[in-house]
Amino acid sequence: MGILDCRNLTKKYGADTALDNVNLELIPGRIVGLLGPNGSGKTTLIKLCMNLLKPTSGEILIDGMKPGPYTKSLVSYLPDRDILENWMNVLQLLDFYTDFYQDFDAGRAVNMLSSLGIDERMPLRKMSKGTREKVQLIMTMSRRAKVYLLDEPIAGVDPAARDYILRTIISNYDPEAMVLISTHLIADVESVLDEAIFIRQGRVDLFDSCDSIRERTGLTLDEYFRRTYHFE
Amino acid sequence: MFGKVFKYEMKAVRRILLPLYGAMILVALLFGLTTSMTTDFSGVGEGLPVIVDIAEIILSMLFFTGLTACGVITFVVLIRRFYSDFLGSEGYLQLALPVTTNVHLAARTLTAFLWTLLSGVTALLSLAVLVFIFSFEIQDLAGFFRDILNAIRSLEIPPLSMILLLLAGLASCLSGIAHLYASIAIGSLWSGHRMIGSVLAYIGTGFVWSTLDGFLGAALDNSSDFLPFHIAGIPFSLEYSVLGAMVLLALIQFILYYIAAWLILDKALNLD
Repeated sequence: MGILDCRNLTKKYGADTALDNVNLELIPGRIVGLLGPNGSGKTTLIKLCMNLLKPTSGEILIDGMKPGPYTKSLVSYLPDRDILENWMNVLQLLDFYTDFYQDFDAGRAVNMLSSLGIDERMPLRKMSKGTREKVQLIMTMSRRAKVYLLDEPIAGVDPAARDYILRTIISNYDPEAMVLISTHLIADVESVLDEAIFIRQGRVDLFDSCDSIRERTGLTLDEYFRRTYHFE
Repeated sequence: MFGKVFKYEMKAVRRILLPLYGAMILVALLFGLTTSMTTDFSGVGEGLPVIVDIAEIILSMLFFTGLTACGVITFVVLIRRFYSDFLGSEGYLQLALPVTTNVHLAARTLTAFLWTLLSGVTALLSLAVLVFIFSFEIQDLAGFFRDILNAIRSLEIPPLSMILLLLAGLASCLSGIAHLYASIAIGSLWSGHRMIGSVLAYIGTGFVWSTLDGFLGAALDNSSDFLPFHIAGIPFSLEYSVLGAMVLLALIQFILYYIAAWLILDKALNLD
């Protein structure tokens, strides 16, 4: 059994199928890319893992348990949107994470914040969108979690920020943990991935190690993606 | 975890409502002072600057609209907070916490209950400040409260009735909050039209409950044996029984709405 298992997982919105009979077994110690075009079901899969959506059928198990308070204590989640509470400043946010997550390393967070020159007393509502995204990422990566679910962490940011984000992920995740990075910007993340899941229209097209995909196809992941998912 | 969720909910709401309540009491104080000044001098007629009269008019408007605004803003803030915590972007932060749905719901219910009570206390305090300044000498604070107690005593309401009335008020407050939360939860099932769904759910469930209330009221009128206190054989008067039934019904209503909200948010919530 993996740290994250999907068994015959299906999610429908009315007549639309967002995920269709997905089966996956992700094991610890890997950085896995969840790769696919927009609307392919990447965010749906991650939200199902966090119990923010309920499956239509099938199940998800994280460390052998269905999503709930226990699994949420193991999973560090970075959503694809701004979720910070405007009334807090960074210090209050640090307290918030310390209060709720036993695995939160406040010292690590403070170091990262100071390396970026982020004022801890500044209210979050006064920060720029980019700074808020970085704060959110720092909070997520400052947990010593068993599973990291990062939904589009590099979408909508400039190339310099992308480098910073990827560096932060690589240098802060626990080697025993599993990191799932959802993105359609494959060229940017390819170098950090151990495994890749290609997903299209809610179905898993391919799940393999990145080396194996490159050997078999003779293509980089980005080239493979562009060839497989190009529009006719 | 309940204490932690409760702490952050109180903090999130406090920053808006506490200054509002403080401002309300300050307005009452200033309104009372300016009015007592103009009243003292009006017999004489002159001597006060026009600015005092203008201030009195503005403060009177602020006071009377403020009394309503305190209730309305409390209501809006609490609904907005609950809605965004479960259905808005904040839901991604709140619902990712290692906390059960029941704890989320219970902490928010208690927070809303306390702030609703506090808004009522603020309104009463503002009126008390005003009455105090209008009617009594500043030194006669003890006399002021003695008079209020005497006025209440003169109504000759039995203590048990007063306790039951108070309990009925508190239970109604709780059921009102649970009604709002259940309506938002029901509205969340109508993906894409959650706001209007919540409003319709509020009206619909309110209608169903008031219809049931009507039937129960008729039953109470027609058969005093229906009342639980009579069945228990306790020799309470009809007045006690009716008040007791009010408390009981409000508590039943609270429990039903709470369970509905919990079931939907726990089993069926899909955060878009």
